[in-house]
Amino acid sequence: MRATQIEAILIRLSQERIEFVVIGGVAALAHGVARVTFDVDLCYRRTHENVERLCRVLAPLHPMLRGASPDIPFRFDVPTVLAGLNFTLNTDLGDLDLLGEVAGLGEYDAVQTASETLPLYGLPMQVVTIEGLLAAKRAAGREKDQEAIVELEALLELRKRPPEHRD
Amino acid sequence: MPSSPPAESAVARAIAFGVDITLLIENLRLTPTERLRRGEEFLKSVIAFKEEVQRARQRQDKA
Repeated sequence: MRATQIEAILIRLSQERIEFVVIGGVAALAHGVARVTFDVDLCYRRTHENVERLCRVLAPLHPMLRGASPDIPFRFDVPTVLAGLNFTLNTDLGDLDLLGEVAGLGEYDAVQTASETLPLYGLPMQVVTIEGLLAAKRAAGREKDQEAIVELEALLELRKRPPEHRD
Repeated sequence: MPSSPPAESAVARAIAFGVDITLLIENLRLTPTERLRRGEEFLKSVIAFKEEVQRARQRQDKA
């Protein structure tokens, strides 16, 4: 087990002008939840140009399908990505999930609409809002997400309070 | 911890659920990047701890 290098992945993709929105555990962490995450989840724009850039940037990181047998041939290239939608990958920088569609939100444009720009590692990045995270968690309807939903709702409420009234 | 949040509030529900609100309040004092770095550092320390426990078990099994 190893920690995914969040900073290295996000900076690399951002500097290469990949269109993506940070979602999932990293987005929740950036907003202030107190839980750790083992992978980076991103929603990516599925235009040919963006997928091409994405493949070019990720190729040196040797993306492989996570959990799949090494015997299964897999090539992370434009035809593969455009033929698929969501990919759970293992890379040299750790686990990376690329989603073309997010339950409860939709495809990239809808996820982007439900996002805000946050300064991460010195770069402006699109991060799904707490409200967006809540919509995705509620749509997933998983028992394990109940605590995360309650925590996100509390975070949303705390953020609306002036700092001096949070304690 | 927030002083007596209204019973119907999300904060009160979270406390009842067992969420440590003090951690959220602390995190809100940080920048988004600081939150991510803190999370990454914590995860690394958890992984290092798990690995140390595994090594200790292996040493114990060999003894």
